[in-house]
Amino acid sequence: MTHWKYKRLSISFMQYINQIARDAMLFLSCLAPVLYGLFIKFGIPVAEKFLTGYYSRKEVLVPYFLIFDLFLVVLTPMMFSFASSMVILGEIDDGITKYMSVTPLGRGGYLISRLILPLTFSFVVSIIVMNVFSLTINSFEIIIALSFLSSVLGFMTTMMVVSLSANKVEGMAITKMSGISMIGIILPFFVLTRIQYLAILLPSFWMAKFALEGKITYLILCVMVSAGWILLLLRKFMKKTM
Amino acid sequence: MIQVVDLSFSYTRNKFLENIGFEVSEGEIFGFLGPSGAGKSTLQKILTGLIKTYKGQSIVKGIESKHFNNDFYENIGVDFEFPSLYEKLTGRENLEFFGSLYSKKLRNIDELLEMVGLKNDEDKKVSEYSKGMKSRLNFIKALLHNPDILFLDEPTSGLDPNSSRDMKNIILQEKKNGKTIILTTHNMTDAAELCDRVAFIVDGNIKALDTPHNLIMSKGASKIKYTYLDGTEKTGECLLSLTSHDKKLQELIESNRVLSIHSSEPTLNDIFMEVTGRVLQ
Ligand SMILES: Nc1ncnc2c1ncn2[C@@H]1O[C@H](COP(=O)(O)OP(=O)(O)OP(=O)(O)O)[C@@H](O)[C@H]1O
Ligand SMILES: [Mg+2]
Repeated sequence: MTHWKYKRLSISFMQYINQIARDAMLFLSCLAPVLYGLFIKFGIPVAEKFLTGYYSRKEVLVPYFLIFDLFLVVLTPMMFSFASSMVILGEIDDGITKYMSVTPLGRGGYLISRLILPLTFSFVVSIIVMNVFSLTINSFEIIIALSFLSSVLGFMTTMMVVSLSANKVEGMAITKMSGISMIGIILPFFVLTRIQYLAILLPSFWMAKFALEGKITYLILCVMVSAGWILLLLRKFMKKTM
Repeated sequence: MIQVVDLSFSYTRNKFLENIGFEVSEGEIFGFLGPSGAGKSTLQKILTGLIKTYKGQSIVKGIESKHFNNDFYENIGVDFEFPSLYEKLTGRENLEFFGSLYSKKLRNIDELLEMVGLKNDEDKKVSEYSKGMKSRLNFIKALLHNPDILFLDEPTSGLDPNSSRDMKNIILQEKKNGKTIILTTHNMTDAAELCDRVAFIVDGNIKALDTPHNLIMSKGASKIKYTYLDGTEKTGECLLSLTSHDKKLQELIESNRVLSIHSSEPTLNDIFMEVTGRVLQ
């Protein structure tokens, strides 16, 4: 019977992938990281060359390359999170989520196939995307650590969108708002005073600190702050999927 | 097959389902009857393991509902009161997808579609289905994996008389095939026709539980109504069991003056009103 357990999970996950593939908007969003990757890998160096010539300076964009990289690493899970949210909201509307609880897939299986598997998938995609397109990060360990953190951020965003919105339209609005929480990425670069610590509740802030300074403490803080948000949303989320 | 003992549950702090107890044996059709908001669907959600925070016992095939494991659902078929179908997929794709979640051999999808008259619409998207078509598709989705127990929440609501007739025939056929069926409805006629036993549920309590026949016999008595001319047209009434005591009726019969005579059995509807003091629907 365990063999069937995995088979059901993969069937349910394929159903998730099919729904994304059938939806032009979701499909394109999942391609976005590659498009953005191409842009920073090939566009940014050209722009840098032009700008340094124009301003006759040694470097213009180079100090901010890490910011481009950080956006690259969060983009993959963000897009998958967006797709997951849209698929889950659609399934809640259609009554599928409730029905899955009375099939052999079960509620647990459903949630694994809609939250955990997509994230694992996006974690792997994120690592590949970073390896191919990253401007500054060469260390494989750092890539893995950042991809992991961004997956946790993606998980948090999915929980937020699905718990706080009643339908797909609201879901899209909340996804856009959750984009604002990514402002934490640029704060440590531009706000060099203590004021930056106003952002301690934004996991993206700790992720950027970690990328800048490489301290494990920041990595742990990022996970803990995200976990806090996730736990806060979990109850509401569970109620919704019942 | 099913044993429920001293079951209680509420969504809020206030009491709702209280003191629920009944048994359903194998091969039986058991009905929950009650007005809107009585708690019928809630009770089904408990029996199917969707709601786990109940108190008391709800045992299905020897297992407490809150402890069902995934494989248990291989043998349970559920038809919720609202359709649970992928709107963007066709009727057939829906059945194929849900069927693929079971490790058992499935029933023939063409036959099922044929049975409820959806064969010609199998390639239409569910979003293009009418309400009744969705109900029918949702219903056969519950039969797909040939479960031993069927939980049907208002399977005939929103159907035209023909589809409703077909659906009832299918339900009776499933019973013949040995399935145990738990059915929810507002419709007394359906309940009287389909159910071996019914439970009247009002405000979260079972007010009566018996076979439709016994309920009718125990509570209501058949009556005779007759009309006759006595200057103007007049009506008389007596219990069928007491006709010989009705002197007026005898006199009328002997003098051939009866204009009309009808006997009437109480319906389950009358009994429901008598027992619960409430109207259905
Ligand atoms: N998920 C829920 N959360 C909170 N309250 C609920 C929920 N579902 C149902 N209720 C409440 O429980 C009560 C019973 O609902 P239920 O759906 O069991 O009634 P029902 O007998 O099936 O009615 P109907 O014949 O209209 O389908 C109602 O008052 C309803 O508002
Ligand atoms: Mg109901």
